[in-house]
Amino acid sequence: MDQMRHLSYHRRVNANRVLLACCAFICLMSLFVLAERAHSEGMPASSSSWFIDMNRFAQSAHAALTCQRCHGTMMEGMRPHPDRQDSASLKADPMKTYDYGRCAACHQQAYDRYLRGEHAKAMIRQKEPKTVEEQQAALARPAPTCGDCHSSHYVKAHLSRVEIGVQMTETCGSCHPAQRASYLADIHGRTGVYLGKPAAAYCTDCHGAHNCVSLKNKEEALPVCQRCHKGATAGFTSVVIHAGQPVMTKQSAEKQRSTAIIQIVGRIVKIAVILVIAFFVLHTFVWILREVHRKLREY
Amino acid sequence: MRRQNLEQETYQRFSVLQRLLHILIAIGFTGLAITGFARAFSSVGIVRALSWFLGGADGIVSLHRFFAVFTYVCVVVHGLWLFYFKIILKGSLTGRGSMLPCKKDLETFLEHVRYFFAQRKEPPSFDRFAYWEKMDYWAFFIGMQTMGITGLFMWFPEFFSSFLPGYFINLAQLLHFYEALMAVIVKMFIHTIVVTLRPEVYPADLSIFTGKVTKEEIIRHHPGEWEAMSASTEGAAVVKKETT
Repeated sequence: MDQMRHLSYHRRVNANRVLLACCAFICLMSLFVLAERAHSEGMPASSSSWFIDMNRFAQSAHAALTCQRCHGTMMEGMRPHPDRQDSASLKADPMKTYDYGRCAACHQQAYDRYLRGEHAKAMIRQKEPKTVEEQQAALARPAPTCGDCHSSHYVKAHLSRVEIGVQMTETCGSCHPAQRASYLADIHGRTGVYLGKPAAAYCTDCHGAHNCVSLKNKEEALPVCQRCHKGATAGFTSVVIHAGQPVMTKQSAEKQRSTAIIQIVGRIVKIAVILVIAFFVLHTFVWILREVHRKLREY
Repeated sequence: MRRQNLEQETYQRFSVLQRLLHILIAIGFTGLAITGFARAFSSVGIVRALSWFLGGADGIVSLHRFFAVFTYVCVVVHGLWLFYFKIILKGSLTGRGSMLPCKKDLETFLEHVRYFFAQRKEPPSFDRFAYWEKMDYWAFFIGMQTMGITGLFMWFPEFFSSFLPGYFINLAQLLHFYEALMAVIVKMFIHTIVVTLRPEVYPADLSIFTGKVTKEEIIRHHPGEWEAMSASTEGAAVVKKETT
């Protein structure tokens, strides 16, 4: 009797330990999940509006600047700011009315690169649309200026390379969702964004930070690949990074063919894998059933 | 109960090297599966916790390549042993006890399926290696070559793209992933279930670890082999009798 009580006591203690271990495990896992959430929440908010959250501005990279440094005097065209008479001024989109040329005062190199880059060229094209389609595209997706990608009031300083990379995947991806998806499926995106390897390539590492070149021809792409892949030759540039993307493949017959081959092989392989696994699962299942049946008969 | 009346004579089914290689390959394969899937499914948060534990992006890659070389060395050792067995020991790699697929495997497979659906009372007369055992062996042996090649494509993309079209690297990624998925399901679930949970061998067929099978097991699971052994002494070349 005494021994039994002793045993049950031990069992209870063991049960408590198991419970404790489970709770600790669940707590740890939820911590991981929370940490992941917090990690993914570091995205830039809607960058600029007329209303500035000064608490957040005070933590930004531009916190040391006064308002006048970027916005000039508060007397725009001899009118006080904010203008209580002109109600329309507050309804205009500040991102469209602000003169981003002022950014060049500090960020001259970035500004020059932007002017040479594809986004600036797209803006010039959009200003004089040749067809109705182009005009509609310009209205639906206007070419970006500084403020469309960078939050001037809330941009954080001293971010790590990985943090910047994760952010830019979202920023670039908001206009180029197909590129974002194919990048994240590719080994560069997986190691860079998900596994957080600083040496992995993020958007701007290949396409340039402000020039934003699309690297359509091989001569242009090869030196870019060679920045990391030292031994790369011309053939290396035809490895498809943004796979399965109709927008891009339209522009290159070779890439179109490669993507088609990859898709067809992928489909065949998927079907083959499903068939093989289905065969083995069924084979094993029926086999075990039959042997159970045989055993039951024998005894 | 009735089995205890039979004499417990044991025979050697697997040599020491075969048993050792099986264990080493099982370790290497598991390592490959864990590190490979930790990389492939890195978009899932919990998997990232695992990859952090394994040393981040670089750690996973190094571990994966280590296990890959480790497992492939096991395959090479097995291949060398086959040459040694054939050339130096003058052993036979063909015949009833061999791993080579033959017409009889197809026949026993069809008979086995007939047995599944009660068209036969008894399972077919399997030789030393039944058709599913040969499938397990060749799936791994061929799979290691294809996984090795596609793996090398991803390890040295600069070299392979210098003489092959670039999309071969993409195809290698695709094939490597799907083959890994298939191999892990077939080996870690199907193979394990067949050698453990199947009523005929339950709780487990441990002959790959002990190397021994009893006379009763041979008669029950490999009747063809027993026939060959008792019919002539030819079987002694592949099945060495061991006294216990």
